[in-house]
Amino acid sequence: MITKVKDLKTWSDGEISPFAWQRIMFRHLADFRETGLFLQNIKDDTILEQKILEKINKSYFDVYNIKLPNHLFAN
Amino acid sequence: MNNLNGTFLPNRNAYIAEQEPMILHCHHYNTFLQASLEDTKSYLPIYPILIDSARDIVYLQLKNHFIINQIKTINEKLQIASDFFSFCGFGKADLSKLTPDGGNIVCIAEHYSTGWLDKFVPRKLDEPNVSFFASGYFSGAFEAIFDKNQGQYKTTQTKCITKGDEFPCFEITLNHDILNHFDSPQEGVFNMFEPYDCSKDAINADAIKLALVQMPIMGNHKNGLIEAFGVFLTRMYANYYCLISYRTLQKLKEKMGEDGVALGSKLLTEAGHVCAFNTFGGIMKSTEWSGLIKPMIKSKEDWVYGIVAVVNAFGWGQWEVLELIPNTKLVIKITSGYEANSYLKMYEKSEYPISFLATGGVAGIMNLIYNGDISQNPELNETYYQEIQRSKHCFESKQTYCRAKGDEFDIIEAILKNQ
Repeated sequence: MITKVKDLKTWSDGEISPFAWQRIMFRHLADFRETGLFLQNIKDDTILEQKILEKINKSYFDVYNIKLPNHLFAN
Repeated sequence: MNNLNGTFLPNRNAYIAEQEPMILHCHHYNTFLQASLEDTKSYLPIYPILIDSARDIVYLQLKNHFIINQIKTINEKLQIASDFFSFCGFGKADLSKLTPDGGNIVCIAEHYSTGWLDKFVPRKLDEPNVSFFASGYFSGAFEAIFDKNQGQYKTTQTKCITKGDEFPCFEITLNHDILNHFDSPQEGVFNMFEPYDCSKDAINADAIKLALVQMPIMGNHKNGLIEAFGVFLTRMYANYYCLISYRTLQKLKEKMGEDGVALGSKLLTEAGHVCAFNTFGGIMKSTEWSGLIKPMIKSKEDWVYGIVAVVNAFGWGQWEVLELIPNTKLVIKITSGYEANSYLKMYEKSEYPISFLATGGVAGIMNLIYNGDISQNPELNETYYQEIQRSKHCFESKQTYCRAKGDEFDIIEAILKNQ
């Protein structure tokens, strides 16, 4: 499964709010950096690795009580 | 005796309580701002920032108050700290049983706890408890009351209603860790403005400001919360917002460089937008608005002038409409804005605009009036907020002049996002 930033943003904007993705990114700035991703390099077609998707999934649950759908993240 | 509840200074639009500016803000702003800052928890020491900022401010304020007014008995000092906590809408806490060794506090209610449950999902059991501000307040108050130095008491929240407990509870103990502490910027670097005679304008801004300043906005006797305009209000320390925001941005810059500052700034601005939507919106739907301001309103534009007049009673400095193009653009000039006042005292100069609350707030005014239509009395809920955010008529704003960058005043412009 390949999940791009754009797919996640579209889902997040539609299901939660246009600012939800920004809050999640803010939570994971350090995790993005660990994988060599800086904010200015995160583009719509950036592919998100499984490891960071796991963390993002947990954050969506912690903050918004919602989990990523199967087409974006397979548990 | 010097009144700790504060005095409104009409030539600065500021409430000053023993050298601390106090400003009106709602639980939507308070909890959204805290939640956004907590998002940095995996890589920044955010919890000490949230707690110690309150402690540093309260310590200095109460210490000064006790010295200036020659208040010497412990019981009287404890009562003052407890009364001020309730007056400001922070909640109700009985401090009378505490000793110099500390003790336990059970709050009947506490603003961040009640506010969080109203706005967000309950906190997870593995998360820290929610009341960082209150924890800092109690530590700072105790250090001032028992004549200790900053950092000599530690407050731990032991029960939290956002996790299912009945009441917020705290334990105060003597602290032996060495903690960093800072002095509050107090009144900061403020400006004064010349009063403008608006008695002949359609919206009599002075009359509105005077009426609001005289309203008895204070915590109720039962639980110490301020329920007004459909929100939980606080008379919060302006410097608390500034300290937690600017200290976090400073840490973000050290750790994450410009990435952190850019994203952090957006979220701080969004907190201001959330605040405007809920507080300004709540006010424009209130009976007070209907009685005091609506009779003056002849056009949609008057809604803008009316809410700006209201803002000038919040202690946020002087807001003035420089330009208003219906459905298109709003330009607001701010003199002595609390964000710049505090920033200039803390850091002297900024490389980037720092009036985040004001920036979000100006876009919020336009979105309430020209994107949504507050005159039609909509229900102000999350669904309506998202509808406004997703609309093609959504406004966004930017700060074009910034006192903290060296300009004479702040100017914020709101324009259509898709222009």
